[in-house]
Amino acid sequence: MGIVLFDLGLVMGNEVTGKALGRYLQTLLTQRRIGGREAEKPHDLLCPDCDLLISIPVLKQQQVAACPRCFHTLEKHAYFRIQNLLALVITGLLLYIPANIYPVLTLELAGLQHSSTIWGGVVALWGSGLPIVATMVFVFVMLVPLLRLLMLIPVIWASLLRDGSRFSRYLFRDYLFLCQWGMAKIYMLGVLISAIKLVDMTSVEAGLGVFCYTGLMLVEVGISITLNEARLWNTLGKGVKATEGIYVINERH
Amino acid sequence: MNGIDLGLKLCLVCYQACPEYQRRCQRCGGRVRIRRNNSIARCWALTLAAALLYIPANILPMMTISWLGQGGEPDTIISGVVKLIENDMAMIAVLVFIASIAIPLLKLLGMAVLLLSIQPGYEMGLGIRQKMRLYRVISWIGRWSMLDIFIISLLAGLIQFGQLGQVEPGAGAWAFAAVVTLTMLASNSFDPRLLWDNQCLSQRLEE
Repeated sequence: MGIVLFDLGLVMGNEVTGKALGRYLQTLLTQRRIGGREAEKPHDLLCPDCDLLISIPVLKQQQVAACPRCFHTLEKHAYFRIQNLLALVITGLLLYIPANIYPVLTLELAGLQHSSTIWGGVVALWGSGLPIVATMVFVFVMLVPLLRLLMLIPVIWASLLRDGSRFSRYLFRDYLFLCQWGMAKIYMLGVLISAIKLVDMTSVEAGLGVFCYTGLMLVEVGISITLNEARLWNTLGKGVKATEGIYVINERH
Repeated sequence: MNGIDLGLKLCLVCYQACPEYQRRCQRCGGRVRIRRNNSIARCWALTLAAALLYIPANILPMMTISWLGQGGEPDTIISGVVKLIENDMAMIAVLVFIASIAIPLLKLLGMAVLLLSIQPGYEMGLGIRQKMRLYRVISWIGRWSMLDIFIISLLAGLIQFGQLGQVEPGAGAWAFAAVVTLTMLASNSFDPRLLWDNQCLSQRLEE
């Protein structure tokens, strides 16, 4: 990292600027490690599934806070480093391109070869008079995974700078909304089933696209494991004042 | 103590508690309400629409596979599963059966049971924990029925050999995709907190 930044400075023609830039970015990237834990305080919250007021203590390693009434998982202790998330997002974006360029499966029949990408399936659906279904497949399988990855970048950036702009908070809201409409896992199961179906009929070959898409799916799973929503909201919402109802919640002094 | 008694409403996106007079969450900017807007009416509407579309989804053909001169007759969901069993692919048949017949039915019936059980006098002997579990299963499992649509999309893109082999998706796919999306929207617009409100109310009445 340091060397790369150093080179960047040389390219810019000024060694001092490069070093200063390197130091700046390094403090940005390391300050989470120091300041991450102190931000946690015991706090109160409402259960989203049954509206019960619950006070949550500071969680120890591997502890999970669940609602005592409806058992909804409220918060979990997770060793959450924003850098890991950034790494996963970049990996995902890199995998996304070949996953959509290269064919998913290749069929061979009587000397003829035919392969299809994900986009090919969408076009075939559109061509046979099902534009709505084609749009749905396009949105759920191609668009939402891409949007989710792209939307996380400004959120991560805001979290690294430790001040959540309004833009980043709105973006993270939309990200969370999109989560349930991404269907990479289901698509993978679909590929698996069609491959098994076809294997008896002709020779089927898995294309590069399927491996990249599997990687993309694994990255999504990794993101959902790594991402600690509550912590990220805390970081993004630093400037937002605590709520005062009849009862003051969200922050305990 | 419930949030509603404290004059607080919870933002369902970022879990920030907001005071009652506030229209939008100050943290994420989303609309906050004490309970989801018109939850029961919307949920009924979406569930009924999905139930109606479930009929064409099962009657209309999903796809037509012609392969090396054989086949060629359109397949509905059920006849597709039957064909898979005939071709000794029992495991896949079970998977497809679960994803495209069992799960949509379970979702439709489950939603109806949940919505009925909210009304007083229709408890149907379900405990609140069981209802909660039912709701969570329905909302988690919802997406997995899209499986069949994705398989059709893959096969349609892949098998394009003209005379030798061709897959033609049918109108049933449209209805089925609509069923899946509508039931997902229905379980999204259901507010499980209403179940607990009911229980708190009935407890208070008993006292």
